[in-house]
Amino acid sequence: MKSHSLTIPLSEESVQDLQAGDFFTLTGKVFTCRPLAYDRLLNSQEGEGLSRELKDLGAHVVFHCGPLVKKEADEWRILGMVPMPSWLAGSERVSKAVQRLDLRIVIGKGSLHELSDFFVKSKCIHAVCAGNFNDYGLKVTKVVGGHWLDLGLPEALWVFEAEDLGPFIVETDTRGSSLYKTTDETFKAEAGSILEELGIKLDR
Amino acid sequence: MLSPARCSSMLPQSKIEETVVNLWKKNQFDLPDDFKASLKENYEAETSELGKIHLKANIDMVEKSSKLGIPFCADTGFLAYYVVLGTGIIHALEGGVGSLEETLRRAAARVTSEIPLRPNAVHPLTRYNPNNNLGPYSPDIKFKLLPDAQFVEVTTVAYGGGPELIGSKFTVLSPTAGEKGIRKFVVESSIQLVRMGATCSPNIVGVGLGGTFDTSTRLAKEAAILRPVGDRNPDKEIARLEDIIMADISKLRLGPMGMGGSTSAFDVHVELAYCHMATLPVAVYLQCSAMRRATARLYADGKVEEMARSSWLRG
Repeated sequence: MKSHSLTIPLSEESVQDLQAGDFFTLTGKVFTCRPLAYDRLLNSQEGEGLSRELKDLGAHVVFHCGPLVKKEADEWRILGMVPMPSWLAGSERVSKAVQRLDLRIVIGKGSLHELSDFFVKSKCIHAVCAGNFNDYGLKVTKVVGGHWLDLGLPEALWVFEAEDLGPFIVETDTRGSSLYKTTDETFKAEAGSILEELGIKLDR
Repeated sequence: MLSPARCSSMLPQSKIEETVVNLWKKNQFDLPDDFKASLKENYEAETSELGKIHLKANIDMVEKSSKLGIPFCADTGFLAYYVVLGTGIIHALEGGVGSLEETLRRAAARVTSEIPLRPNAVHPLTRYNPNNNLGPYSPDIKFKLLPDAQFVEVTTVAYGGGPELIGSKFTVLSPTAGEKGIRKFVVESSIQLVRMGATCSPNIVGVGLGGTFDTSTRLAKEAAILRPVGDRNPDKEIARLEDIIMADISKLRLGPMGMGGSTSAFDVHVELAYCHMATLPVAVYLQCSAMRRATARLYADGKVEEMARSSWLRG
């Protein structure tokens, strides 16, 4: 378990040293996305425009989250961020966004192990958060923009700047190794006797 | 006719609103004492390094949030009230029970903008978000009458998105499935809901045993949310079942965020209701790791008493 501090924009090589189970923090521009914002980003003309803008900004990281925001003196502030399950966004939306926006890091909750081959090919990683809730909101230094507020404040797409945002845990790395795949093997071995006692058959 | 003396000790809606706003702040900024103590104990005892990191992040954040006056979890939840209304105070409520419901709705909208809370309530079809947590059944307000009691007791709770999205299950088992069948369903559900970090864990596992379709699911939720960690059902057979299922789930070693470890659940609470003899309904609700509940009683003379637990289930 190594720790890394990364600065955004991220080069193609920047995430290659990160291994499943490693920790990292981020400094730079990140954007948030939930399913409704993904659909507009990927399937509309305004989405094409914003995709170009995000690429120009070098925002190579998407955070699957609906932040807790507050408007103070005409300026938006982010007070808190906790992840949404990445599987709620779905592999199709995530892979399309990674390709279109040259994303290097996808942050969320749970596993995206079905995309491990895709992550290898696109030199991108999936990461999860430390803790069920944490102080990520306090690491945000500036809200750069809130797009599509008509989707509701949490479902809107927020672009922000942060300093030492994290720690995050690498879930799937660019070699396709998945932390959850490894921990799941341990679970199957350790829970064997209670599963047998109760007659529980696992679905995978 | 009300006597002038009774009129003078009317409980004003403004007093109720102020109390309820404070309850929201309390439950959003800090964990309940029982839950926080359990979190710390489990952190000390946790055997996995990753598991310890997750639990420590929670402990640290709650310390910060209660100092700063910000919600500790940015999914501030779907807002709900459990109101135990003493029949002895109904006539002393300013504006009556209808006004009480309006006050609770107003308080929910107020804290959404003042604290602020995340506006989570949307139209199910159009997905329109009014950004104030108000809509049909939002906040969700449930009333229960308590004969002769001279107080109104309000419990504010916030349901996280995780349990509502994936952390809940309902089934009707064969009437002869028995204890083993119940254990199997609860453990199987816990695995599906927590494995590979599908939803936040550890949590309190609530089980609604018996009842009808609606009672069963309602009891599972109330068991998870309204009872403190360590509490056991007064029915000895049910209390024994709580201990057995807790031991079963601990043996899974799914750990915090499903990454493995010794803390797979903070507790297991089972509530029972009699069911039709042809059925054995079982419902499971995993309240997320962000437990938000706070309770206070208000009396006609304006006295406010903070309570360690709600009397909703054992009034």
